[in-house]
Amino acid sequence: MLIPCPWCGEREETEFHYGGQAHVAYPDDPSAVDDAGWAAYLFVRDNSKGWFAERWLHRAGCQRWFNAVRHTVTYEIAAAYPPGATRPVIG
Amino acid sequence: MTVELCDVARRTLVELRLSTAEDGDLGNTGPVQAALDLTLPGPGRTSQVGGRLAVWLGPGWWLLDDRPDESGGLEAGLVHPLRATGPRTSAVDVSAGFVVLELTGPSAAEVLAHGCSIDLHRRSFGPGSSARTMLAKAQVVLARPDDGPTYRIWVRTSFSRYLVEWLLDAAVEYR
Repeated sequence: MLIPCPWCGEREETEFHYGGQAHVAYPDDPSAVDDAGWAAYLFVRDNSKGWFAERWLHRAGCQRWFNAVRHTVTYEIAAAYPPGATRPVIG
Repeated sequence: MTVELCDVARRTLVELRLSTAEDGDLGNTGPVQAALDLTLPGPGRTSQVGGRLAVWLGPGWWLLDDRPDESGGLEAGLVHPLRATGPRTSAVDVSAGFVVLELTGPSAAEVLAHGCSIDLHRRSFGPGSSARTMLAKAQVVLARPDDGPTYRIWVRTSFSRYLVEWLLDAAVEYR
């Protein structure tokens, strides 16, 4: 599988490190979050069938984190964009 | 002989980081470029002047490869230009951390292709191209600085013996 790094272009999958679901926001008020809230923030992730925004690290290349929208069935990658950017609308 | 491997001894290597250029805008890196007397290359590119080579590694991140110099002059000469460029900038001498190899000859790209997923064909990795990538499971910086069939490889010192032995083995059929 080729993954399109936003800075280096398409590279082989083995150059990358997977980082899980993207756009998981840190709690606005951490001191107000209870144990169940922290557990949900730390461990509970979507497991969707279809387009999924996830984090990748180009470990062997530019060593930058970025987000990619990948289809969890076909492995097709529709978009790769820098962290901080909003998720593109796919499909 | 269609391919030749050599160890480029005692090069001065400096890793340059300029946080202000991470977005690709080299607008305020003038002092650094003036001190180096070369233009910092963009993504996937190299630039060189005289015996000095700059390789793009990532956003705001370059490898400088210069003639042997035991005095650390390249690193020291960047202190003031870095201050003038902005915060979160650095130039670190990493000469001892890497071994510099050169693979030359008409079959050089074919030898590398045995263990590298980058398309090394001239149309996609022509003169002035570079990539930080994997070669035979070793993390390397690979560059083709000029028009000749010469590839320069920077590899961590601890991986160099393995990589040299791998390259010698991969080159057997091209002798």
